[in-house]
Amino acid sequence: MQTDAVVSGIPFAAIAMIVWIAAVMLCVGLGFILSYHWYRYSLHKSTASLALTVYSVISAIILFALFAAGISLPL
Amino acid sequence: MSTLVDLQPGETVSTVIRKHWFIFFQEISAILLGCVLILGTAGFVVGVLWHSGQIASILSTVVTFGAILGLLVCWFMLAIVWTNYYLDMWIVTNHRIFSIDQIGLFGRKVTSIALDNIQEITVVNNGFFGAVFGYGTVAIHTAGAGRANVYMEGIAQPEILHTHILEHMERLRQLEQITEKQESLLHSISHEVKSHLTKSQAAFASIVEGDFGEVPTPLKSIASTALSDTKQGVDTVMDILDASNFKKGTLEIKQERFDFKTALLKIVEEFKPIAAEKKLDLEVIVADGSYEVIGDDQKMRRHVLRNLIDNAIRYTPKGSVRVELTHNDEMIECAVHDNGVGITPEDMEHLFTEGGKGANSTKVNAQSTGYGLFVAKTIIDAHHGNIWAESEGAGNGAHFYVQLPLAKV
Repeated sequence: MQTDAVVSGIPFAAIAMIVWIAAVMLCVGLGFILSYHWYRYSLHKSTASLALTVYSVISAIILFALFAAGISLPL
Repeated sequence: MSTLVDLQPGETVSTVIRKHWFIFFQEISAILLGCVLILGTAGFVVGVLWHSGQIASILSTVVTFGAILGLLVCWFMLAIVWTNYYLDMWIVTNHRIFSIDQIGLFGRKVTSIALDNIQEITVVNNGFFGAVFGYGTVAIHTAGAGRANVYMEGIAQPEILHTHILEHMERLRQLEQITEKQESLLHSISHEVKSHLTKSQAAFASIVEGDFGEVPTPLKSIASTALSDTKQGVDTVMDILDASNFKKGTLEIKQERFDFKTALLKIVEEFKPIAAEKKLDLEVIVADGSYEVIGDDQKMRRHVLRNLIDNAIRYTPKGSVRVELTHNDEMIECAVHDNGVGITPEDMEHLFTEGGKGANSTKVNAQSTGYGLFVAKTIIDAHHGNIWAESEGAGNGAHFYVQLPLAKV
C-alpha cells in the first residue's frame, strides 16, 4: 500500500532521538532555573532539596519512558 | 530571611503567609485535566491500532511517544506553577508588610509597606470555595504620596491575619507615643541639667579667673579641673539637646556668609594646648583661596569642626593630627587625618547614627554620648554638604572629610 510505503520511509527513531535530546536539555535547563529559585528564595533549604529530588526523579522516569518509546520505533 | 527581604535593625518577622493549598489545586487543575485527556486519548488510539498490522503498530508507538512528550510538558508546567505558588508569600514584621510575587521563571516583585502608613485594611471572602475552605483576600491600602496597595489573595483565615496586623499597628502606635514622651522628657531634663551646669561653669570660671581675689593654689587647681569637666558636661548636654531639637524639627540654622578658614583656624588654635599636652602634632595645611560659605558659623564650629578635631585628638594616643583645607570651583573640602585607634568596619556602619558609639569610643572615651557625629552630620546635611569617614580598620587611624558648597560671589 502507498500509505505503508510513506510511513515506513520516515526515520521515526532518528526524529524521536532528536526530540528526546531536546527534551533532556530542556529538562536540565529548567531544573537549573527552578533550583536557583528554590535554593535562593525558599524559607527552608530542606524543602528546596526535596523539590529538586522529586523534580529529578519524575523527570528521569518520564525521560526514560520517552527514550524507551522512541528507541522502539523503526529507523 | 536576608535573601528574601532586608530587615532593619530591631525588625523581627512575625508571620509568613502563603496562598491556601486550594488555590494551588485550582491552578494545576487545568494541567491535571490535560494529563488525563492526553493519557485517555493515547490509550484509546493505541488500543484501537495495536492489533491492526505493522504500520498500525508503528503509529501506536508514535502516539505513545507523543503522549509521553505531552506528559513531560505537563510536568514542566506543574513544576513552574508550584514554584510560583511556593515562592509567592507575604511576610509580616513588627514594622512592615512585604509582598513577594514570583512572576513566571524570571520575574520577581517585592513590595513593602510600613505599618504606620496603612490607611485601610479590608477583608473579602471569595465565593463558594472561599467559604468552604476558609480562604479570602486581605486588601491593604496606604496613604501618602508613595501610596501602594497590597492584595493578599487566597490566604487562609484572612480575619485572623487582619486582627494580627491591627495588633501590630496598635503596638507600633503605642511605641511611638512612648518614644515621643521619652524624647520630651530627655529634652526637659537636658534643659534643666544644662542650666545647672552653666551656673556651675560660671562659678568655677570666676574662681579660676580670680574674681574672688587670690585663692589657694590647691583650690584653684580643683576649680580648674571642675571647670574643664563642667565644660565637657555642657557640651555633652548641648549635643543631646541639639539632636533632640533636630528630631523635633526645631533646630535653627542661620544662613549667613562666613569664612570657613577663619572658623577652622580658630578651633585649631583652641585645641593646640590640648594636643600639646598629649604630645601630639596638630598640623594645619590650608590651600590658598576663598573659603566663604553660607550657613551657621557658630554651629559649624561647635558641632562639626570642634567635634572632628576633638575626636581626632581624643582617639590618637600618640602620633599626629593633620587638618587640610582645600577647594575647587564649587566646593570646599576639610579633611581631618589622624593615626589613632582607627574605626572597624562594624563601627563604620553606625558612625553617624544617633547614639552610634564605636567599640573604641567607650574604651578610649568613656564620656562619649554617641551624639557628636550624628549632630555633625545633621548640621552638614542642613548646609547641603557631605560628611564621611574612611579608615583601614582598628589601629590604622581615621580620616574624616567634610565638603561644603562655596558661597556664590
